[in-house]
Amino acid sequence: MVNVTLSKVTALITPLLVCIVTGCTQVTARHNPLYRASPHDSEIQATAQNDTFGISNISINVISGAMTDCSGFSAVHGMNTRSITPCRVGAIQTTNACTFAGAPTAATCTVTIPIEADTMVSYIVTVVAGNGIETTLPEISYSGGTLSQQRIARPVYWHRQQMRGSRIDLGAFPDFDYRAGLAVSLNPYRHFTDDLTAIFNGAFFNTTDSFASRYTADRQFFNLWAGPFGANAEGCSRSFNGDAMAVSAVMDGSTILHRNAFRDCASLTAGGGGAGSVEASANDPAWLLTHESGHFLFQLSDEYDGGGYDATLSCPNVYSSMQTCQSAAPSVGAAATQCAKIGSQSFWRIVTTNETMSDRVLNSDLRDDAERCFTTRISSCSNGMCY
Amino acid sequence: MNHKHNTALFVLFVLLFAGCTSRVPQTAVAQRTEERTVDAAKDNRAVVERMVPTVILQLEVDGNTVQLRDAELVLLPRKSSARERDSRNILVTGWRGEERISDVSVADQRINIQENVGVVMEDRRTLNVALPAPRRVDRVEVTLPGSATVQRFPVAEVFEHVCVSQPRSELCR
Repeated sequence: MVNVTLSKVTALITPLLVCIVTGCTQVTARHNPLYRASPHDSEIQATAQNDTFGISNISINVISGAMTDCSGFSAVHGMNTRSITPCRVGAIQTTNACTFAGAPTAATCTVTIPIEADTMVSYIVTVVAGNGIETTLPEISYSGGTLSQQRIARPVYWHRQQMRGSRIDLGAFPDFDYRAGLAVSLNPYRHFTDDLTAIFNGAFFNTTDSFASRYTADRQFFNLWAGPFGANAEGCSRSFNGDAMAVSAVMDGSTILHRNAFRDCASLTAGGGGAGSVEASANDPAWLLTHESGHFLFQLSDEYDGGGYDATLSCPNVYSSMQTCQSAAPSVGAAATQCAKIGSQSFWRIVTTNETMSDRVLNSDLRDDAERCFTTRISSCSNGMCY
Repeated sequence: MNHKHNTALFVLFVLLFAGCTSRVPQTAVAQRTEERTVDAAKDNRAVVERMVPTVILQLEVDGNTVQLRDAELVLLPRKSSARERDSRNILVTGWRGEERISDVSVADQRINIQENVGVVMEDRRTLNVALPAPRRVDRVEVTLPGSATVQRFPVAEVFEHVCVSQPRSELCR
């Protein structure tokens, strides 16, 4: 307990000391829309802040070209077999710079990139503070304009330079019901990508709602992908066929976005290709994604009365007795008195206000033992192997 | 009076301080300063150098019976994963004769949680597996969690197309 507290204090103080000595530059970058499968203009926006020295310059280095299935590369001698993760050909690199007179405390630089059919874009943001110190963010890649028929994983937010396995690959697939009814005559894949963008934005690029705080703060440990048609979910029955089959096989977790109403369901798994469904037409689909992926990416049980529980997992967030709950509580910074029975179930939990695995509210969060399971997994990612 | 005066000064100070440290960012549209073509080999190095032949398998599990529904050869960047196998996972191994070429541990999706319903066991489920095959494999073996029984499936024909034209390649030797 003392060690945990000390390490937390050290983790907080170290960056603070670095900031005091060198002036701390905080940088965020994102692209908008996250993913659209038709030609459009994409905006890359970088925001930087340095309270001590201000911001002198932000540059956005962009590489843009045609996305391919890598078959032209002979990556393995004698094989021109297709890859499920994409390559790029015919790329142009541009450097785009914003210079800020007077070094304001906070500055934002934007660049617009045209997305044509089958485009893949990568960007690297470099910020120069008023004291001349540079801060560079790792490369992010994304795609756009991809035809929905292609058997390829479409990057929405991809750490292309990092080893597979050091990031959690999360794919979203359109359910068959996007093609049902009137949607058929419209553009069903566009309908899906609009939902996907809203849901990924709400879960991974959301600094307003606390339920998204973990995924947003640690999104550098996720790769987000869009999948093709071929998936179907109804209750706990899920299938991935055709192009979707190959793409889902390379994901740590897959979520099927659906429009028809049914009770969402997810496998109780820790990556390894686990899957679940998310009702995209609900009022809070980003919260649903966070909750369902808690099941299929982090093997978390429900914590509300009437949910699903398993107290035998290696990183449990429910317990089979009051005693085991009370024993576990101090290790996650909770008091033994916080342990309570889940309704009339034969399971116990550590009760903290508004927990994402318990409470369907936007100001929920992964707390106490659920938080520990999440941060343990993210630590594994930072050590190079998420699973 | 004195108190009111102090309060006014304090409010003024807070407002001034807030103004000095305004977090509203100054915005600018970037000016393009450089443009050049990119060498494709260099651009894709991180992805292409890690590529390994991979068999994508679709397995249908019904109770303790496994069926191979589909198998396809693709390329994928190799993946780092923990050596320790989760005992709840399904183990899929690739074999060439008596030589074990590769293995992958995939989540068994039998145990599910449905919202406001509880735990739902799906005895019949379809699993999609990416099995690395740095060298040709003749068969895959599937071991379900808690089972000592191994179920075997021939997959040699997946490699035929490549290995007929490139019999001496590292993949096919």
